[in-house]
Amino acid sequence: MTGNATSNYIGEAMRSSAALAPPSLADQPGLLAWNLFVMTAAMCLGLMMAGKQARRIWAAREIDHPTDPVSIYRFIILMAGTAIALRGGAEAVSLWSWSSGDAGTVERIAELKRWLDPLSVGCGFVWMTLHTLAEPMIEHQLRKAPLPVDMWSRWPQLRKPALVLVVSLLMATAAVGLR
Amino acid sequence: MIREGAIAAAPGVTVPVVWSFLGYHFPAGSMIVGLLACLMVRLFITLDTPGPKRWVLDGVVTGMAMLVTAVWITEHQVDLFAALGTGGTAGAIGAGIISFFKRRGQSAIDALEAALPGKPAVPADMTATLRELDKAE
Repeated sequence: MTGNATSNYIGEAMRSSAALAPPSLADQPGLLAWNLFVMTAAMCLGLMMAGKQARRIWAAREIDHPTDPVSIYRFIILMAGTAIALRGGAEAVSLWSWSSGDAGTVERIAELKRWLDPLSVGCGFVWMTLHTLAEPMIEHQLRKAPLPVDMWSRWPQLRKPALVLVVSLLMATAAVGLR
Repeated sequence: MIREGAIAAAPGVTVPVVWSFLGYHFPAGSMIVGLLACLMVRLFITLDTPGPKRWVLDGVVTGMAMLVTAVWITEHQVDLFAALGTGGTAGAIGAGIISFFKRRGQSAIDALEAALPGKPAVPADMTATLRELDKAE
């Protein structure tokens, strides 16, 4: 009885089996896993970065003038995070959507990605513009108190991103390895 | 063997590995991806919460969200993409699952009470009033 149910299920799975990846990645499971891993992690890390910066900008809105060097620095980081999150997220979702085996879903997600990609590049253009406009003044002001930056004491802050990387890697490995 | 032959015949087309646990069969990839998506969202929420960490509470909520994800994936045999959404949603709802089922469970108990014959006749509106008073305290 149980065996019968199992073989029924396997038969069902075989009927519903579909290509796991776009044609360019179909025969390269390693490359597919690598792409899934990096794009998923990029989405999560970009979201973390952009979210944190947005909250800090909002928290300091009464203190820092919008044209303070620190505000410009934070806005550039916010734009970089948003760009990575949008671009990585669009790519990740479109890669993952192939496993749904539904042509309609894949098509809709692909179209969404085409809309989001220019937006994420636009975020990149915004921070490039800000950098170009603010560069001389920011450098001038940064030279006023040239204390070396102690980065080693902040080392534990990388624990959270490392955790996200590990979880993304496991997800990508499971998705590709168990098909 | 037959499965492998089928895979070899159609490049790029794969068959999900099926695992079974306690007699339940589920697509292994979807299960792991769903559970990890749930864990990832719960990590975001846990680590972003300001104040002292409540590891036990967060662990219990995470475990329950993952259980809900696992049951859903087993029940509906979802594909990888849907497993991501399932896990993410269950993780995002998180503690909301408890309050949802608390409310639902209460109304289920009320309905059962009302359906049982031969019980002491307490009007429904009176019960509701008493319960509201209970909540207020």
